[in-house]
Amino acid sequence: MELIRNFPDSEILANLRTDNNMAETVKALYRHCFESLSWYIQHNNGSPEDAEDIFQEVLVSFIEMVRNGKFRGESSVKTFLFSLNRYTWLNELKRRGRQKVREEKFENARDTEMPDTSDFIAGRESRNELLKLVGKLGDTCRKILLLFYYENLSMREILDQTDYETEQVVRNKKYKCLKQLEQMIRSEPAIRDNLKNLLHG
Amino acid sequence: MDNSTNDLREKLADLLDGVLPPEEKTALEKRLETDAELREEWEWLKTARRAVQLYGVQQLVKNSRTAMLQEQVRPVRSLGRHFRLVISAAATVILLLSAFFLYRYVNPQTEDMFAAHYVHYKLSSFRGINEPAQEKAYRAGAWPEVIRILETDSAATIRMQFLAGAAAMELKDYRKAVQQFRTVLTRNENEATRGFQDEAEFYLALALQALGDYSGALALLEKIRQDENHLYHDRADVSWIRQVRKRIH
Repeated sequence: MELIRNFPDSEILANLRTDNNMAETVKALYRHCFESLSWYIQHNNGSPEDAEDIFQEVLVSFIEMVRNGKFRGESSVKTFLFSLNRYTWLNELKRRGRQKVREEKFENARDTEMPDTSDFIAGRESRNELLKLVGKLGDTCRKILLLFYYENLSMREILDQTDYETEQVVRNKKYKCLKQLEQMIRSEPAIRDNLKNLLHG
Repeated sequence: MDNSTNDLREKLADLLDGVLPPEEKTALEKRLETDAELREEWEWLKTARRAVQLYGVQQLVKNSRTAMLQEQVRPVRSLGRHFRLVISAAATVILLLSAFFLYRYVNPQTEDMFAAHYVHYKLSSFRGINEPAQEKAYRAGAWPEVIRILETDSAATIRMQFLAGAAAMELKDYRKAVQQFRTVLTRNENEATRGFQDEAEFYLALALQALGDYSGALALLEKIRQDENHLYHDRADVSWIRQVRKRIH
């Protein structure tokens, strides 16, 4: 019988940083935090589906923040996730144009929350656009790019998982796919402006 | 686009993948410091890689969640017969209890719904030198005395009337409570005042609900919910309103 383990924050963070035991770590985060974060959304005009979507978005961003060193452990993981969840949901409500909840609650939340989640909200739209664009790639391109840049497999290992004949062919294909994705991203105005702002201030 | 540009782009991709020979790497990094156009190319490539990594994390989260949900419904196998029987019996009990609580959650009993939302009305901690007898009685929890004082005072204030209603709530005498709270609301209307208006509306909703007058309770709760400045706006939450509404239909 599988035992459900409680992961301390230090272990969660170490696993996320080193890409170790990821599936169990994500499940632990679900077990530890999903109920209360979902409750917040469902008691603030959200549906159970909204709660599920926002939680997944929050986890993806949190993992990225941990890996980029942007989460410095100034609060507990749960507190930080709660804060991200709250910001994301208020931001989503604002995006959907629900007048009643808009400015006042958003501003109040910004005043009272401790953890700094400003980077996260600023990049939310771009991040979601990036994810959509990867989803629009062809299956083969997406697979090769994921195997190389996410799974960190070598060309030899990728060759074993595809129908190509040589490593060089895989390498060329991977380059073309990366350029294709890059072009798709370049043609997305919201992302282009965001990146230009980052580059040129 | 000439060959040298293409060559440079391929080198950028090699730099991204960490496979550029050291001397070429140093030269390219130096050029990146001074060539703004090339630097922009470099940022686009890094963004594309970041997009793929993000997508990978998103898939991992989704897959973990799916696996988790499947694990929750997976049957227990390869256990001893006796143990399986115990587990089955326990599962049946849990299932029945869950069904019961789910039913109670979806269709809460009147008293559950009341208990979930009722809050004892607390007087402010400030006490004047000449605190009225009724307030003293209220603080002491002498509910019948709170009502008696009101009923023997021919010049009762709105505050006294509200406190008598609150005391009646404590005694679970909801008819008397309704009577007092309605008097508060009527007096406010007639006298163009707002004394204990928000409090009376909230407790009247609770009292009506306790008496099974769900339409009356719903009208008040919706009114409270719509008014963001109402003292009890946050308490009259959507799920409570939904529960009351279900009682009507």
